[in-house]
Amino acid sequence: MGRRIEWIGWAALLGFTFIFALPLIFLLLSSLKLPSKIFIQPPEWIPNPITLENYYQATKVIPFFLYMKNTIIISILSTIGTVLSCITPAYALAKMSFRGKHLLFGILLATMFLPYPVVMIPTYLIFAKLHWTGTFLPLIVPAFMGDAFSIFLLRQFFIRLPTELLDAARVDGANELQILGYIVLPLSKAVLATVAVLQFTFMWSDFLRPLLYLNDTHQYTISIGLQNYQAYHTTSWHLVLAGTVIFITPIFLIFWVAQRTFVSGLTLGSLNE
Amino acid sequence: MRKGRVDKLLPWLFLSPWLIGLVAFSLYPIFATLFYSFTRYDFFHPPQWVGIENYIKLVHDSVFWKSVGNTLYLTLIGVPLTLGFSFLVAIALNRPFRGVGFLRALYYLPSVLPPVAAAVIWAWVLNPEHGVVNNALTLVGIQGPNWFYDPNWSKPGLLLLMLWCSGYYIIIYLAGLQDIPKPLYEAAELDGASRIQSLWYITWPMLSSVTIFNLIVGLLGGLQYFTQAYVISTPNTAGVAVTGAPQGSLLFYAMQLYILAFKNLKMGTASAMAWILFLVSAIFVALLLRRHEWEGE
Amino acid sequence: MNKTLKTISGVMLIVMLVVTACASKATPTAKPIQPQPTQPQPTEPPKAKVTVNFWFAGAEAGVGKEMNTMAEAFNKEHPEIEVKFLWETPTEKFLAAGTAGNSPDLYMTYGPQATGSWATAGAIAPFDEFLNRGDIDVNDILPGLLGSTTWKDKVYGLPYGTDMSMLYYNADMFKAAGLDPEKPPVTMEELLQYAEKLTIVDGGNIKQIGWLPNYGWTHVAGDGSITVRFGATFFNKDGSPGLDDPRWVEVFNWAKWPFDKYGVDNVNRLISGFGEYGTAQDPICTGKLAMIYDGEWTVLNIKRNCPDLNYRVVRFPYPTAYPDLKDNFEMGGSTIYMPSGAPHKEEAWKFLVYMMKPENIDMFCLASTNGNIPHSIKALKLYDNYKANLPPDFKYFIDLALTAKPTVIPASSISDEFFSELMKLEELIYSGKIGVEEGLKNTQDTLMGIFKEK
Repeated sequence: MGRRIEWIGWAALLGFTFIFALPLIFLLLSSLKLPSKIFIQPPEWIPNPITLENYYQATKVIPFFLYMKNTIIISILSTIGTVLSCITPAYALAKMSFRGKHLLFGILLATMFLPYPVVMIPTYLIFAKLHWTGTFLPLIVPAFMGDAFSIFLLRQFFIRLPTELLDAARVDGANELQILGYIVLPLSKAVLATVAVLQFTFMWSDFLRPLLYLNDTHQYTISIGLQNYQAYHTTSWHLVLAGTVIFITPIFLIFWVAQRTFVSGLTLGSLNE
Repeated sequence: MRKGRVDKLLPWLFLSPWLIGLVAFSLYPIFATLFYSFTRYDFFHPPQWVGIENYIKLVHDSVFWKSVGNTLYLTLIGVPLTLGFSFLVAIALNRPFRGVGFLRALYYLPSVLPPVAAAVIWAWVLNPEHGVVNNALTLVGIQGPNWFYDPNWSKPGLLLLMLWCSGYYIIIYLAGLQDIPKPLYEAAELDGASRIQSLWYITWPMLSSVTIFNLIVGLLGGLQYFTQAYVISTPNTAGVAVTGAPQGSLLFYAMQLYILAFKNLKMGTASAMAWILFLVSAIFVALLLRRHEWEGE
Repeated sequence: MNKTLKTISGVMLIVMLVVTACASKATPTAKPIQPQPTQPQPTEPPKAKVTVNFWFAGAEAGVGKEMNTMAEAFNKEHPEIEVKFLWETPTEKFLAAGTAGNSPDLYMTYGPQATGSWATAGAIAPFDEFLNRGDIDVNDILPGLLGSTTWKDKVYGLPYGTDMSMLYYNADMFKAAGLDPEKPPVTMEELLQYAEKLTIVDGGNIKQIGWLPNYGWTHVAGDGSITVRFGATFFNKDGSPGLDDPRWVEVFNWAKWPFDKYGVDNVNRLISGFGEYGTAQDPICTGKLAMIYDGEWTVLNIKRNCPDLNYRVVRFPYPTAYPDLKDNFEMGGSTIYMPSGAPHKEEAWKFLVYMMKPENIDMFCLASTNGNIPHSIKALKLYDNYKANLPPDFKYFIDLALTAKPTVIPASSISDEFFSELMKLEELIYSGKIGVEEGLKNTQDTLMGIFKEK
């Protein structure tokens, strides 16, 4: 009896997994169909003939490499900025003592949950006054001024480092910077990698900020490039879908390679509170 | 510059990059938004003080309430649904069988895709004529609904998209599940508890802090929902972008805010919407975190 | 100082340098579409070159080549000016750029609807001072066109190429339905009767439909061309909305026929499965749609995408009740605006004068992949020089432009909002969510409210 339930459970899981994977399968299959075959009734499930024509056409109308290049520049620069600028604040909040530490930590938490639309307009106006709209700057520069969630992650990690270790170093005459550099950072490689990966993926996928600040189609990132194309050619599915496949492939690959880092980052953030 | 002084200043030096950003991009904007919400501001002329007129106008604006309704729908229905769904999936994937790593990665993958791509994929999957969902339904003799072309089905379509992208929550639940000590289950089994009972009395309570965290993240995300709806509902018909189609069923709060600010040039009213969002979010977070204790405090 | 401090400051320094370097790279210059010529011209006169930035709502694929040709020739003639283009810029970006002090010098839209709204907001500047110089012959512009770009007696927009829409129909589908392709519908009521014969429904699924009121550019709301056939008022003289005109009721009662007859769900499902307008999967090409009300560019689209299509183009029907409106055709098309914050108005004007030469107008309208009707009478009369490039049916539009009585939709301070609200109303009426009279009244009240505030 138990065996039977096991089997049913298994079948259900596999069936459900298949359904779950169906959108991606369908995406791929559709992108390999001739345009005339996409719009017929009744539908053809397996593409016949299989064609790569859509991919070829899509690359002609959507400047993939340009968008990819822009997205990479923005993502890498802001990731560097985040990692660099979040280390010292996190360390201060974790291991240093000063008046107002509790208050600042509270503010950190609060800003972690601050919805972007709340600050969107004044932030836009700041950048407008600086004449930075239409450039990459609004997307990169704020990263160099800390990010609440990343600081939070790092702080949670630092706080778990045994104080004795740091005290020992202090007794030996090391100053805080040395402690940070020689002791803390080498131990933090994993969490730093996590912060980097999370920030990179976030900037890679971000849509609202490029929408607000990038005017020139030559500056578009992947997200807004795809959306822009889709908005103008919404029913040219054969091209839109091929374009989508091309766009998600890099993330797909990065994900497959760096799964562990993604996962560990999330768990660090949520559970150990 | 003696050591004592350096000691006092050093933490602030360390904090400085963040503090600058904090003031410039968080604190100042919050108050600026408040200020603008009391003005009439269209970018091309200086802001004019109008008192609470914007708020009053919003209260009487049916489009505003529509966006509120849509957003609450997604937030109050979608988020719990997503959490429940991810909880169940996490439980199903919590055993060490062959290929579980692969399955976990598969369920997590959609949430890693750029939201624009996921939205485009689902717009196609749910296409009333050619999408796989309706085609499959036709195989069993059901006429599928018009999904993103039907105001009654467009939000449910988004719910499906949300569930598909719930990998983030699944992983967090998985990690939480693995932290629950096995002896608890063994003891329950000895006492004659069924699987469902252990689920209800052990698993769920042990995951309460995970759930709360997920709930906060999810609810706040729901209140700011923008990208997917924007992608799906903004076809550029004849050079006129129509957002919130069909019939405003996909007009969400953040989208209406964006339209007011950048399309209609009503920065004042948009700021009023932003400030309302701020208050609501602040209340949400305060309520949920009230009793929580943070490590190291 | 010790090593760690040095390392950290070194890193910070490098990072700053990288950011600055990338920032200066990333500062936008609206890149020209041709590959950049190699850097600074060695023998540059001491006066700095003035860049005229010209943004377009449309895509480069349409008129890019022709615009580039014009720009190249112009730049040669005027070495102190360089004209640069930016394509596919939606109106929000245009407005937002104005706010950030990053205005372009010129902006070309699809249509003139935004004139009143933008003029009222102070986003665009009038051309009157420039027009008074006489470089452009205002009388050469098709009569009435300026009516839609004039607000409070000032001209805020210059038409460039204009559009007219006619009835296209699929002769083969007519024959299959037992209709004589040489006898197209003459009145609006006849159109609907024909549409019924041309629609095939198979068990709840519409296989082909005779007519849709909201296909492509043909919305009652989208550009109002159908409404003009009924003579309904868009705006009163002062710019206030005219939805209280009882003819609007007739318009919508006529327009919503397919939704009432075949069910809004079925029709929407059919529409959702259409291929993209203007491509080979366009429903007119694939035989899903028998009759359309579309612009002159469709002649070129059909030739490009489905040249074997057996189609005809004739005058669009008129309502039986208003035979005097038989020759009433709506005209309106791309419009050039000058933002109030444009940095180089004089140079921009020079380029506009250049663009307005009849040869250039003809090149833009008749030689491009888009296909527009020249807005200038002189240019229209030169049609024969270009007709080799165009399908013969195009001449039909040219002749009409020279002889018909065009109607334009006047500008209004709430024109943007008007068309937005009208689109929403259209959706609601077609889906049966609201009655025609009630819907019109509500929208009229809303719009009056907005109008009074401005």
